[in-house]
Amino acid sequence: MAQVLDVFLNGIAGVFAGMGVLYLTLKLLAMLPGGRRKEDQQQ
Amino acid sequence: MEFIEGMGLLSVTPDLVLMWGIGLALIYLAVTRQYEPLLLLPIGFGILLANLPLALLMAPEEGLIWHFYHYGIEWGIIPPLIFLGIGALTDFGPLLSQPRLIFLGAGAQVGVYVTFFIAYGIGFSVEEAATIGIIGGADGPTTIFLAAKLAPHLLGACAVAAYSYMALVPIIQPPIMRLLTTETERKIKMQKGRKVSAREKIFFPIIAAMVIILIVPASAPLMAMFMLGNLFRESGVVDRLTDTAQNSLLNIVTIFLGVSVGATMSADSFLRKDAIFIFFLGLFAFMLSTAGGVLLAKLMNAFTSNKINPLVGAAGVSAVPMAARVAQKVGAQADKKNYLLMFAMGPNIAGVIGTVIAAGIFLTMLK
Amino acid sequence: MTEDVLAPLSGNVWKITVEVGETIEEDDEVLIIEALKMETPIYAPCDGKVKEIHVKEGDTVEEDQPLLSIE
Repeated sequence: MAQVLDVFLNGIAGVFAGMGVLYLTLKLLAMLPGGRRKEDQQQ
Repeated sequence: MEFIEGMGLLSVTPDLVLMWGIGLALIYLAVTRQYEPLLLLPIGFGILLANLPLALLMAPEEGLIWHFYHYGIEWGIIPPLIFLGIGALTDFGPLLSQPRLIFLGAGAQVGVYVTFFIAYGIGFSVEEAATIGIIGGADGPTTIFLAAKLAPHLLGACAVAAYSYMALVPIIQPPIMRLLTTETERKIKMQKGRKVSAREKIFFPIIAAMVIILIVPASAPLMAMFMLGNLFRESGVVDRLTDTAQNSLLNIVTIFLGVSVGATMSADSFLRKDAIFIFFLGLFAFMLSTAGGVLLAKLMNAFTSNKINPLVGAAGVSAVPMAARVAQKVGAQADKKNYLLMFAMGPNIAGVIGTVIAAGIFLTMLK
Repeated sequence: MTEDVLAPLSGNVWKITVEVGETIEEDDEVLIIEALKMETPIYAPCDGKVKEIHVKEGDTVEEDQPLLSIE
């Protein structure tokens, strides 16, 4: 049972952590030079 | 008389006939209703073949389809190749343009873990429970990949459950989506995201592959191929490879995947009460994942003024693009000038990544 | 006063259901865009007369591209 709880909690935490890091990556990507089009920068 | 003794006809049992019925039913659904025909048709035929006595198509080291199964699925080759094709077909634009929607793809994995917990409670082993739970991610190749590694004896049932529920997404999801949202929420018009540059789209598969594989190394086979396929597509310089990955190669491996998965369903491995539990638990996982995505969207709305239409949360289950279409349809029922399709593609694609990560974590902890 | 109907999503123009000069009401279907193998009907944002149609059936349209003008 302890193992199952461990997998359960680690799993949920892991998925959100993984997606969270990916989110930050996307945010960083958006800051790349050329990451935004000119019209967006003007806004 | 040796010929007569060698006839399979004399070895037919009622169990085998029942399996023929199941195989034929899947073929029927594929042909007349077009339920996931690309998969259910070869799967249905595979079931028929596996249950023809003395044909030995699945005999270890000997049978034709056993070889397909062994080298393609047991070795974990076909599901990543399918992902290569899906990567080449996927436009990450909707996700890049609204990064926060990525969390909805994580929220929709809730069903995976809750079902895992319940399946274990019912008496399945930890490995079996993980395989059943992943059905809630609504991702066929990932389900097959995980099942082959953790619980091969459940592979057929889990794959058929996953693909059937994917075909039933337009029936399963809308009632849950309506139940959990108000009319006003369904009418929310989302703000358009910013435009995404071509350069960003090239960087994404490279960086995402590195980041995700560094965090969950066990997700590497699926994630690596997924992102490679997408890099082919977005690079714009290897049209031939993109075209092969998303058409010919994808079609070829789909044939071997379908027929091998079907052939794992022999009467003695499938006709057990486990299979019935798997179908119920899989459906439950699916429903819970739908709810998870919708509820997370509502939770996120509590903290932001730029509202998310909670219907797109339901698209966090990975069934691409069926779940996104369902979000569009349910949204249009509330307000026909609300076009949610492209917004829903964000969580939809994020759901694929989420399910792969979930499978990777299961593998890390259970293998 | 002219109002442009912009494509709410990218895809292919599947079918145009109005003609130039036709009088339409708000919420009338003006054309159908096919994206992700799904037909999405586009509805008029206001009452008026179709002044000009900027696309033809089979065209690929990008998000926010003008589809037709209503006056």
